[in-house]
This record gives sequence, structure tokens and C-alpha cells, in this order.
Amino acid sequence: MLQVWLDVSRAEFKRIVRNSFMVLIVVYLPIMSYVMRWALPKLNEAAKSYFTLSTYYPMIACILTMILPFMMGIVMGLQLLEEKDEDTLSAVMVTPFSFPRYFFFRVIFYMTLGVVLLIFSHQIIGIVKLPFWAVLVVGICMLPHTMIGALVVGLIAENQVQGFAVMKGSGLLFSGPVLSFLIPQHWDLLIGIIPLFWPVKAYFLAATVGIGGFFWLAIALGVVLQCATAVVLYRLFIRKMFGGE
Amino acid sequence: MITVKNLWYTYPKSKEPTLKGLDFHIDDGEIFGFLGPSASGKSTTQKLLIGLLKGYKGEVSILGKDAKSWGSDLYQDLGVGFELPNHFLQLTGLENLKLFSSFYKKETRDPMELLKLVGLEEAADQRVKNYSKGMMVRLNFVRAILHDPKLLFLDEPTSGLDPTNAKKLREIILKLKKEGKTIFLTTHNMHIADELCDRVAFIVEGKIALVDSPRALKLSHGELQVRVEYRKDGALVQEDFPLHGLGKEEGFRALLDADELETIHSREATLEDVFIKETGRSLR
Repeated sequence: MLQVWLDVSRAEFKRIVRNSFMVLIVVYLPIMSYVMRWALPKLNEAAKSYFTLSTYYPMIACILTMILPFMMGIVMGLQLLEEKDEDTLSAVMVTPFSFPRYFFFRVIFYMTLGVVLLIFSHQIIGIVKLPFWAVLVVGICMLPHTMIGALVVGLIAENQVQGFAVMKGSGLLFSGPVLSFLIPQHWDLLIGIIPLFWPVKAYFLAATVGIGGFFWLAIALGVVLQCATAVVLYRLFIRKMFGGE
Repeated sequence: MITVKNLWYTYPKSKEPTLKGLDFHIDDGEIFGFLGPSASGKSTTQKLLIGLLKGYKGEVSILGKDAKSWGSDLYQDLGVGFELPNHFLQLTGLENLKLFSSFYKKETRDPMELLKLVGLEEAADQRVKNYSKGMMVRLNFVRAILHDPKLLFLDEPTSGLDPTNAKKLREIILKLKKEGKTIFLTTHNMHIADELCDRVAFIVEGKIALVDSPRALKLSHGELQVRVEYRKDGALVQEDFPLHGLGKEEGFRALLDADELETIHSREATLEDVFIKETGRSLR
């Protein structure tokens, strides 16, 4: 099984690096993180007479890094749409590998890519000092969002053109949880209905208050809510793909 | 190998059934042609048999088991060549075959050997998005036989191929038959069906009009005559003679002796003639 996963992952990696648009989606946030590593301290220095930019560092770091697993899901969703357009999925479905296995093998690839990029970008930007293991925990908590990203694209878009539109619009899904940083404590919990809120909340807690009980509670709630959302979306996706046929 | 009894299928958003009680049987080692015009139910039947469509009524047995009781293991012994090429365009031809070969538990055929078989060895490392339609069709075909399946579904296998490659593919199909493979061939090309198939079924508006061997159909719907063509005073003349007792036919013998004949053809029907006669429809 590991060999098949490696074969599927290798093919997926080649498909990304041979498509300049996909490469752009994958690398632009890590590149932005690298740029911000140098730009933010200078901006903070320049603006210090007016306001303290460093107060908002957790929010900026969150925008640039926490969205990466979700973005990798979007990339997978776009690849799925291409396969649907080209009918390649039918070719996979008439092999013993089966569609669900193919789907989950690829989700695991994109999850791995997403969490690696998240940790890499977070360490590169370096403006929020957190223990490596805490970044890893938040990154792992974000993993179901890779699957959610792929399924949102797969469910809403009918073709790649619509897929790009969904990709642009999906930023809204992320904006609520990120903007909760600006909302007074406790009131921000109203956004808790959005699954992405909880890993983002855990990150903010770790960056501002410290890693304690609430951090772990947010992580646990994040995992449960996101997994539940991913399961519901997967069922809807399968119904859309094969329902009634 | 395949038995279909009273097969009905209606698409979810349709009121009218697409398949209306199909019955047919395919023996081991047979090439069975499924002929019909566009929207006659050919592709729907194939999709049901290969498991891409579910929710049919009737009985379908495939590779010795009820189709509904098969899981994904069915595809260890079943290969599908789709009508339209459907590859991973950013991967090369060789990478496509290697990826698909990793999906099978059993040993698969050497991808490079298969590419050679259809003349794609020099394009093995080229991305499929740069292939011509004919190259993609050939890649489709070898992907279907990658795992050496016992049962092969081919949908318009030579569509989009030049005559040389189409001939090469037909020869490979006949070689597969000699190896004992069972082949379900969907086509509206009666020449291919005539050349390759042991039996053909004509499907029109979701019903099978008739099933028989191409030879039997052509003989039963043709005339037992030969038509000769020759020139007389520069003009082309056609004349028909009864096939039985042809050797004693005076007029025919006179033409033979005069050494004036240009062509001689028996007047059996073509499969297209039979189709039109039986169904009142054209195969286009």
C-alpha cells in the first residue's frame, strides 16, 4: 500500500510542477512569508509612531501560513475537476484501485504537502515565536481542511473555470476566523460555527495567551468540527458524482 | 462470460427508459459486437456492464458472478478502452501506464513493451497533452490491456486512427482473441464489426433487434448471385448471374472465355444493409 501511495504521490507531484498555475498556487504564500520576514520588522519600525504593527503579527502569520492546508485542498479540487473534464476519473474507476481509495491517497498527499508548507512558512516568517511542536499540532489540526478545500471545489464547481472562481471566493471562508483576532474575547466564539475558527483560535491562543487548557480545547473542537464537516461534504460529493447512477 | 437478461435502465432525470429489456449472452473467447446508431443505448449498456452506472433492473452476470455482487476485484480481470481518450495530460505516456499499473494487485505487462506494440515507444517520454488524437487513442487501448484482462470492453477502438494504425490495432484485437480473451466491442463502424466480430447485436432505441454472426446475417439478407462488370463498346456493363449452377451458366462462361471481365462480386448484403433492413435506421 505504501508503494502505491508513493506512486500516486509522485504522479501528483509531477502534475503540479508541470503546471505553472498550480506551482504558483503552491509557492506564492511561502514566498510571501519569506518577503514578510524582512518587510514586517521594517514596516513595524516605520509605523511605530502611529500604531504597533507587531500586535497584529499573529494575525498576519495566520493569514500567510494557516491557510496553506486549505489551499492544497483547492489545488487537489482543481486537479479533480480537470480529471472530471477529461473523464480520467472513469479510467481510474474501472481499476481495482477504486475511486474512494484514489481520493483518500491523494488527500493524504496534499495534507502532507499542506502541513509541511505550513510549518516551513511559519518558521520562515519567524514573527511569532512558538515551540515547533505547537506549530505542528496546529498544522495537524488544520489537516481536515485540505479535504474540505478539495470537496468545496468539487461540489460547487462544474468545471475548471468555475473552480478558479470558487478558489477566489473561498478566501471568505477563511476571513471570518482570521478577523476574529480583532473581536473582543468571548464574542469571537460566535464565529465558532465555522470549523476553521477553532484551529485558528488555538493558534491565536498559543501566540498571545500561551499554550494551556483552552489551546487544547480549541484543537479538540477544531478536529471534531472539521472532521464532521469533511464527512458531510464527502457524502455530498459522492452523491453528486455517482448519485442515482 | 456475460449473460444479460431483461436489462432495463432509466437515467435519474429521465422519464423514458434508455434500455428496454435487453437479452444477450457472450461466450468465453468471443468477440461480440454491439452495433447501433448514436443514442441507441450502446454506451449505456457498456457503462452498466463495466460498473460505471448502477441501478439497473434485470439480471447481469459477468465473469461467472452476479454483477451486483462484484467489488473492485472485478477490474483485475476486466479492461476498458474508452471511446474518447482520458489520460493524465501532464504525465507522459509511460508515466500514465506506470501509474495505472500500480493500481493492480497482479503483475502487469511491461508498459514500454505495450507502447512499442502500438508504435508509441518514441513518444513514451512525451507529455500526453502533446500527443495527437490518434496517439491518445492508441495509449487508451494499451492501458486497457495493461493488466492482461480476460474480458475486454472496447468502445470505437479505431476511431481517430489513420488506416495503418487502425489495421495494426485490429490485428492486435484478433491476436487477443486467439489468446482466449473475450471482447465486447461497441461500434457503429460495420466494417470493423464485420472483420472482427464472431457475433453482432443490433441495438436500436434501447432494444436489441437481432443477434447473429456477420456472415450469417449477410448471407441471409443477400442474394445468391454474383455481379460481374465488364466493358462493352467502351461502356461499363453490370450483369447478375445466379450463384448456384454458375459454372454451367452460358452467359457467364462466355464472358470468362472472352476475357473481358473486370470485377466479380458475390451479392451478399453488407452489415449496414442488414441493419437498415431490420431496423429501418441508419448506423450513423
